[in-house]
Amino acid sequence: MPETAITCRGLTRSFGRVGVLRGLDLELERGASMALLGANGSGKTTLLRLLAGLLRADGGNSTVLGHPLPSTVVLRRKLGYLGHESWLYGELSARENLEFYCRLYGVSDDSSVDSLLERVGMTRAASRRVRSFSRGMVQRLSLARALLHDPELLLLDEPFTGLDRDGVELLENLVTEQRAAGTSILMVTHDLARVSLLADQAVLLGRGRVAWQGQGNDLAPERLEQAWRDTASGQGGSAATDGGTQTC
Amino acid sequence: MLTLLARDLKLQFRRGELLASSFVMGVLMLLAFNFSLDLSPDNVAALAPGILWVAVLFSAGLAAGHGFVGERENGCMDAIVASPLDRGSVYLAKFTVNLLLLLLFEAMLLPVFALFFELSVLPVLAPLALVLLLGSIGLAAVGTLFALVTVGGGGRDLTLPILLLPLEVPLLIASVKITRVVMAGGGFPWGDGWVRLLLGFDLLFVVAGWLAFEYVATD
Repeated sequence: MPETAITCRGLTRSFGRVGVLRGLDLELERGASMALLGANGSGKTTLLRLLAGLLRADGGNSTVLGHPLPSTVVLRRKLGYLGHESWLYGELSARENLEFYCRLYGVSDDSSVDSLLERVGMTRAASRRVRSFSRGMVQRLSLARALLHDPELLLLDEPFTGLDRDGVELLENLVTEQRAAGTSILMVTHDLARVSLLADQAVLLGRGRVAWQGQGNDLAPERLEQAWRDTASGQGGSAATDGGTQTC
Repeated sequence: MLTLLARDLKLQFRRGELLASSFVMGVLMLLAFNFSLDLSPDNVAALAPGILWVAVLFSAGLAAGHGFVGERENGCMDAIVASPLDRGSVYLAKFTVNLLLLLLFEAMLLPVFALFFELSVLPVLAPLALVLLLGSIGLAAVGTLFALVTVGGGGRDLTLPILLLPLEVPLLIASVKITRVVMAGGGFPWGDGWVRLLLGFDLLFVVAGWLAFEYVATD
């Protein structure tokens, strides 16, 4: 089993003439949890979509769970993705959606649908069509969808969006459970206060590269804030934080 | 692939709008041609095949636009692309759904066509069904591929017909020529060059769609 969940070397991706990722290097160890930070347009979502096999890189080399990209059927079976959109069918009920994804991912145990619905607090709404759900309910069900095949790597893109306080607590518990179970996690977030709770390390993207990375005490909100400000102002070298590493 | 096929058919029939709108459009086109052309027993046999295929062509374009109706919302196309399904199989599932819906639409339209133009289609039903099947395979193959190209873009209802119609011209000509022979009671013209063109068109676009789907879906 490879020791790294994600390895990116010199990853590039442009949209038209706009370079979004410009030689990004990144490594995430297996079983580790990383917060991916950065301003809008810094390439966070593009990176997640590349790793999930939704986009192709223009250049560079990447491996995910030991599989080189572009992704294969075997790799895609091991990934869980929660993005900006729910990936749920509005015309189907919550249960029908999960049953459909169970079949797509070859999950044969029907009881896992009930158990997931219960875990995300959606049992009572199981038979309702998704189009009638609130944003928070949709996000809960999306989370269940992302977890139903016990992925080895979870890619979460701003997962707290739309959740109420109970939903946030639920998501924190689920992420904590997944970490304890050894699932590798790469999570995009703008919520600096939660980084130290949910991640072992953090990476700050700027200009399509890793601009700063830190772990341990570096994940304190005030240090992340400082790193964010330094990156935004283009400050380099060791002035970023006491412990983090400024890389570009 | 069967999972996707079953889900797509369930969504299409639950909504029901696609088949209904295609059928209404097809009937309206037949009606418009019936009133606008000076049809007589002398020219109806020559004109009717073209009218039938124009109605099928435009309704197929409408259907292709709705072929990814489930995937348009909530980014569900990404879910299919990110799933462990073989991406060629995704294309084949979508193509099959489009083909089945198109054939169902044609089965509904054919009696109306026979009624409006006072044609007896029963004696030539088998060869007519065959030419409709071959033409529909090509229409579904092209429509499925180009519907994916436009699925995430704005103005897709305008873009799709603009992309589709020029490509479908050879299929339209071949289908009309073969249908004319069939409706004249000449049986299915297996050795005809138009049949070879139609078969070639079908094969080309089914294979091209199957191979290209991965690249179209991930860029």
